[in-house]
Amino acid sequence: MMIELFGVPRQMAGRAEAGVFATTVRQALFALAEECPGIAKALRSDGSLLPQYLVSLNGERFLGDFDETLPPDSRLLLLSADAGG
Amino acid sequence: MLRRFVGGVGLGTWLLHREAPRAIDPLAPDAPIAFVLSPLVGTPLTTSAKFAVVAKSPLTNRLNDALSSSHFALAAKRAGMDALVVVGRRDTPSVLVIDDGVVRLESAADLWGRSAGEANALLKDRLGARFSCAIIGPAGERLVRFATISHDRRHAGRGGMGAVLGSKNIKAIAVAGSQRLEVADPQGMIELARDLSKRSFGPATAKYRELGTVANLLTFNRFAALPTRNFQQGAFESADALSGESLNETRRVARNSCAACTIGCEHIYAAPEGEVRLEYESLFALGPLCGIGDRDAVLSAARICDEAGIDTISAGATVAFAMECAERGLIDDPNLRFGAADRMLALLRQIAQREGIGALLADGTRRAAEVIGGDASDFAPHVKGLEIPGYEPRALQTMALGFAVGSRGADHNRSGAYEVDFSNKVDRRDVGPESVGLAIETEDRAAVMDSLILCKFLRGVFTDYFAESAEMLRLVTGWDMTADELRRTARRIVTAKKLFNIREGWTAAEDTLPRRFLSQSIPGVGDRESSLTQERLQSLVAAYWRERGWTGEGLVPSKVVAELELTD
Ligand code: SF4
Repeated sequence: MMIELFGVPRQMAGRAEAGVFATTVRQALFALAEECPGIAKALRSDGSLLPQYLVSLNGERFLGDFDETLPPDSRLLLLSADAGG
Repeated sequence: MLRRFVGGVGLGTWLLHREAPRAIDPLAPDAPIAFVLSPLVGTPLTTSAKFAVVAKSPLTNRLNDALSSSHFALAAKRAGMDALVVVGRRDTPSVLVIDDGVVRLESAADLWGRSAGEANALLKDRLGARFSCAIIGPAGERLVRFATISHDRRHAGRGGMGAVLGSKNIKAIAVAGSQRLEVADPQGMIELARDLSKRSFGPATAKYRELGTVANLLTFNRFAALPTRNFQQGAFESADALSGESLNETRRVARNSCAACTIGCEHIYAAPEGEVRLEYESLFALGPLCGIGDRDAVLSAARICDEAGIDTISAGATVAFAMECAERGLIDDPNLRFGAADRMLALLRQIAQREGIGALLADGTRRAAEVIGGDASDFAPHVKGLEIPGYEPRALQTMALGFAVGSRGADHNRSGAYEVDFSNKVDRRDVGPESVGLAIETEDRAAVMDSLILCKFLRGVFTDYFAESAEMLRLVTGWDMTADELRRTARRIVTAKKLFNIREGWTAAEDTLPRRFLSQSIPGVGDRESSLTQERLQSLVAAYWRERGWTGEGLVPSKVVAELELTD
């Protein structure tokens, strides 16, 4: 699946998107951190996100359960939680 | 009274209830304008050097509060001010000088017609560097209804506070003082300030510090929540070219901060004519909202607004509205089209000078639509007369509620309801009653933050916002404040604003959005369009009134007035 990065996560990762093999959000985030080590700062040791960050499935809904199983063609969007101005 | 209203917006609301004659024209001599500090100004707490400007808005005819920050607040505190209320009208352009509590008026003949920046430099030459000045630009002098009050490159931006000062023939307020602030618990204050500063360097403020709010543009675009071409679309094809990331790479020249701030969110960019501070709100309004993808044009537009002293959100929304009117044949201006950058820049200058069609547009989209006629009012992008900021309400429906019920009109600073939409608590494009209490929570938090006053960009560092704020107040004042008392204070302030509006003629029909948002859908992400019906918005508004303890007509029962100690 693809992970699109916005704002601070993009800056941490040094890129706008990354492809990973994963079936859950947690796996996807771990895989992302392996691919882009800078992103590890956004993760807790259990692979969940710090409260300053959000992850959305396809831009449709924000995910709270990091063990949720994702369809293979998912796009995850990773962004700063303070989305406003 | 200070304990009941804290300071800033809360105290300003109380002052306006007391000082403003009923049904006063906001630009009449007797209309008061209040500059209000807070108990925290002058303490070492990060981001606390702020002040509120509160008056009846010439744009909305409702209560308006606009915040600004930096050295003016510190100087005013040293001059012995907690609040300053200005009434009356000078015969000739004047400067109001407050020097250590002594007030005098001086001529502003040499400053009139100048930008705030130029006037500030001249005034400091005249009075000395120890003075800090709040100044209007040419737009405030010409009573543009969305004119700002500027200082230190920042603005008390929304609702036309610059026009109110201009109507009094006051070009500037200059303050200096030498008094020291005493706090109840100096040691405790130093420790808390140190801790808060440390937290302010962490991840909760990283976006503001490292990228600035301009980073919102690409995110909002991806979520189809970026208002584009006068709210006809939620995504912009040139978003990449205008993105914060590309601006930071190609145009950023410096980063600054307000006085007494450890975050430093001000990102300064090179426009063709010189430097300019740019925020997401200016970027969206002068860019996608007008169909402009040329970053130099957007930076130039932001500079024109800053120099004239006009609110970039209202300015961009008004130009976008005029572009749509012209495209639909309601205005005869063949060059005024979405994407026409040169015409946008010229129109902004016309608005600031009230020249040609600019004279009509200087009154804001609501009034302009009434004059233009046809179906212009359906797509004039405002609530209560205040132009809508950069959050597409059909894609962010908790925010739609926040806009509809906002006491100063469509507003992202007095309601942070978009935070609810950007969470897993609601379906942002199909919100129900579960969003109402969450929206209220953000509004209450903002009411306290704007009264304390602390910068909203600090909001992410608190784990228990009300408890920590109560502690700050205790350290400064010695009051045995609790989180619960402060929650009640928040409700009191929100309700006091509402009572002022009711007094000034508020009706339930005002708590809504323009017809466009309730009758047309826009493409969303995926296959699903974003749409919001009148019935859904109305049911959210009704639930909001109910949760606030207000009546089915949105009025405040006397029981609530008494409970919140608002009888005076
Ligand atoms: S975070 Fe930005 S707006 Fe807030 S006080 Fe600091 S510099 Fe000013």
